[in-house]
Amino acid sequence: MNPGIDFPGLLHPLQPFEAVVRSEPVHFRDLQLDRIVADACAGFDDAALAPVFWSPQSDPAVLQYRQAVMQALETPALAAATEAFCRAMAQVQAALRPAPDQPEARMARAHLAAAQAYCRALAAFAGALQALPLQAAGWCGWRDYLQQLLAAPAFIRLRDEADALAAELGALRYEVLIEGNTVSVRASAACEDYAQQLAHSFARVLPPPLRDGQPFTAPALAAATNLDPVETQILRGLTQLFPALFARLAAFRDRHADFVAPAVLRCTRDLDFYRAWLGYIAPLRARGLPFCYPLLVDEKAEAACGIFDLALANKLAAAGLAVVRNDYQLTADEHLIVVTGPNQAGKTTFARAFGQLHHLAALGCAVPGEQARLLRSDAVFTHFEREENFAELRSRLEDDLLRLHRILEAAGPRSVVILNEVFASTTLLDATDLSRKALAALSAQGVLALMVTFIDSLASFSPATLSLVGVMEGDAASRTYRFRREPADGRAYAMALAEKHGLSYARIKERLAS
Amino acid sequence: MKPCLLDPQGHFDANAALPAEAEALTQDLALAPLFATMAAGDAQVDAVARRALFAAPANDAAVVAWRHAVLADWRAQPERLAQLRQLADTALAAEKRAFRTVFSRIPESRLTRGLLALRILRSSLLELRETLLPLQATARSAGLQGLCATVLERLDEDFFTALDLHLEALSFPGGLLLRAGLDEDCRASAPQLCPPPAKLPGWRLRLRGLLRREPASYRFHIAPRDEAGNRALSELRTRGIAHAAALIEALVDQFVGFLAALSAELALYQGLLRLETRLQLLGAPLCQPALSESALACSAEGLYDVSLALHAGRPVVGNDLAADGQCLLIITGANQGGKSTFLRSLGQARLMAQAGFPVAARAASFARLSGVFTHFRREEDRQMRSGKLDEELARLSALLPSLRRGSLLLMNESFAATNEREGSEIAAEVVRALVEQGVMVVFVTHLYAFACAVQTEAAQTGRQDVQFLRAQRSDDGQRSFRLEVGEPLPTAWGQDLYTRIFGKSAPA
Repeated sequence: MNPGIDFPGLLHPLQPFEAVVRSEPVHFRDLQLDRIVADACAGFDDAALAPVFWSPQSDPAVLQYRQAVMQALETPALAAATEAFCRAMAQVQAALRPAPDQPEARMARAHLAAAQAYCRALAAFAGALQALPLQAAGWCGWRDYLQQLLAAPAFIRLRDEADALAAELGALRYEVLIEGNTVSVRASAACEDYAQQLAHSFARVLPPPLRDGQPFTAPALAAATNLDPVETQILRGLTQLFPALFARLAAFRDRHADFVAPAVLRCTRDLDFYRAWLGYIAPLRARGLPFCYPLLVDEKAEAACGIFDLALANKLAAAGLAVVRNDYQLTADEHLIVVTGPNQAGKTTFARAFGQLHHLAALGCAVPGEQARLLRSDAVFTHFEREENFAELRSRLEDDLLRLHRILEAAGPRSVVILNEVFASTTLLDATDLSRKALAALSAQGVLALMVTFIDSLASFSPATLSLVGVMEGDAASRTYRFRREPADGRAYAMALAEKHGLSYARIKERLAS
Repeated sequence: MKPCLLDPQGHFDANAALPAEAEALTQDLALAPLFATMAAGDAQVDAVARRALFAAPANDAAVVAWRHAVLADWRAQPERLAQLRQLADTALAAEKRAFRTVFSRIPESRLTRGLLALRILRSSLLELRETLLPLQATARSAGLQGLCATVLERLDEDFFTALDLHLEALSFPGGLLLRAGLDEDCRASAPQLCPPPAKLPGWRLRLRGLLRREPASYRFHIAPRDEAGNRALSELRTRGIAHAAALIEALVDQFVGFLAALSAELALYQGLLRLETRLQLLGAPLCQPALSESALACSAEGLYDVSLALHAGRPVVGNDLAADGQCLLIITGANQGGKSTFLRSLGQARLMAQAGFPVAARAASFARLSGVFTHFRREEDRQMRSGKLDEELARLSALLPSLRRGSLLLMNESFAATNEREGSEIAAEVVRALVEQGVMVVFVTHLYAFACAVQTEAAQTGRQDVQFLRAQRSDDGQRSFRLEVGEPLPTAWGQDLYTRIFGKSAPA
């Protein structure tokens, strides 16, 4: 196609986007992002789409570009037009796939149909976009590109040739004479419909609907991948009887072998990303869960409200249950979050929500939450519990330390580090000591970190620490899954839990005595 | 195409289901001997007679007149009637037989079956035409003339010529010629059947090939053992002839439907003629009253129970009725005085009059009814007294949705299953409501309190549309089985019966 006009695509404002990260990032599994991305990509071309989700962006222009495109796509009119366009393009691409066992003429005809569908899809999309008030830079650029493409002489030539050829083929008529098992095919002069003659002859006797010569609705033909033997032969006969026409058909195919403009192909792929994500969050939105486009800043003074774990929300929504949302806020000095609380208070869930938030924000997607003001991070590191690494003959503590070391080496001032109950397999004293050292190291590098721990004393580590404590309701010690900014008070909630199950010292004695 | 012998538009459907009240009417009005006489063993006559009689409420005066006229024509030439019916039945039987054998042998097309059916019907249709030709001259009724006109105009010479041409052409002697386009999938789109080429003998084909430049054609052959190829070829043929096959099928259906309807309608007339003959043999009077224009006409002379006469084999006592403009008839009087018989005869006569059947009376004049319903005591309910009233009320309630203005309800000793006071109360309520809604009620009853109450009310309001009839009884207790106009009496003269059965020696 015309090399003069091009469009970089909808994922990057300046150049065609190529995903840099070619394999699933290490932190995906800990944050359950692997499941989230797999569910979102279901129904699309996984191989091309998943890498886009794997590659976070740190360029503010890119992120803003993407957020604007996605936000615009939430409006129903644009979403409908996009859906129609992507469906049409999917059919075009399916038709262009090579099918070696089909007759040449059939492949050429399918190619022609694909070309027509392509032209129609582009025209329809351009028409729809013209009618919409678009503000996002990406959409405006795409709309302008389409206008230029549709006005280009090459496109017009493609469309006109395709339509003319299709009309000629549509007007083709031939006669088939079947005598026993011999079939003759020849070009057709006009001939009368004999069934109409029948209806006319017996008009006085036939009941009213049939006698009026109503067009007969023939039963629909079942779709088939291959032509049956008779159809194949008839097609061969037609190519011989109308050599000029079929030669033109083949010539069209050669001339316009690659009629899909690269920018259109690129955009179709890019649109898959937005459609996948919006399609994934749509059912959750329908249940009332909020999603927003975060404000991305350079400081660590973050604030977010209404955040939740996306994977958990999906699971609970299937069972019809609601998911608890949390808020947090960091002042200008704070950049370490220490999350403490009783067992099963939702600490890990909160940590995951925090991690998901940052990764998704770095993709330019809509994130879970009512509003968010986040650090524009360039990487997310996680340190969650792993099974004992038997193969490398290391103890867990050794493993933990090695991993932490690697993280600290790789982390930069714009990284986000999430530690979930590290140093659990050692004594309390050692764990406290090691944790303090880790926090010190993280603090020194100025990294934004979240540490989930059962060691309450860490919560008051430094002025840069935000302590979030899981809130329990009343004496009955029931969990709310909410976290509040307050100093860790070290109450033995585990004990309260044990009491609730009748397993405190006094209760056990009571129960065994009776 | 319809024979239209039973009504001008051909609305009568011999295959329609009987209405819900058919069974009750058959039992209560004792219609079995009537149908048996008409049918004389012919199941089709029995079936169509039932349908015609129970569909009577749908008829108006025009339909009744139509049927009387046609019956008059058939009365003059009953052999022609039998001949015509025989023709129709033979044709139908032949077509059905052929259909079965064809279906079993040839798997391919509906067209082949249709063409065979048409070939079989062709000769019958020709015979039909020839039978009706002389009839057209002698027919006087609009119905019969219409039938002759329909057949002779539509199945004329041109029709048979065209039929023969098409039958020949559709056997595709020179091959099946289709015209089609190419769809997006490179398959045949909308194949159309072209006028079938004639079969040319071999030498003419060769000559034509030598002399004339044939248009170029691509020829290929499907091997006999090529399963897929043969299946594909068969599918293409089926697609091409689909439209023609549908038309041929429709044609066959039309003819079969016409012949079946004709057979049924002729069967009915045969039944009617049989009934007339039988009654005349018995010496019992008959009449053919037209439906009256006035809305509440209801009078007759010598009205008798036709089933009783047919069953007994001799004429029976008839009644004179002068109930024009009456909407309520209350019949009281001596036991075994002929009250139930009268009720039956009235129900039978009104249905038969509206169905165009001969009526069992010397003369009669009836208005058009929208339905005839019965509420008689049921034999099997005599087992238990408790629940019998329940059953009666339930049965009446079930009738209610069907009752409307212009319906006739015949009640025989309803609500007798409780004490007289309660029964009278219920009867009064029911009857008042029904009569106000325009239902004509004829009530045979022993509930003196009820009859009295109605009488008092009628006298007070001065209404003229209530009539009281009483079973006659002579002073010595003899019954005449006649009804006379008379006020209700508190006794039904059970004393007479007692005396008769126990003899005069019984204590007084």
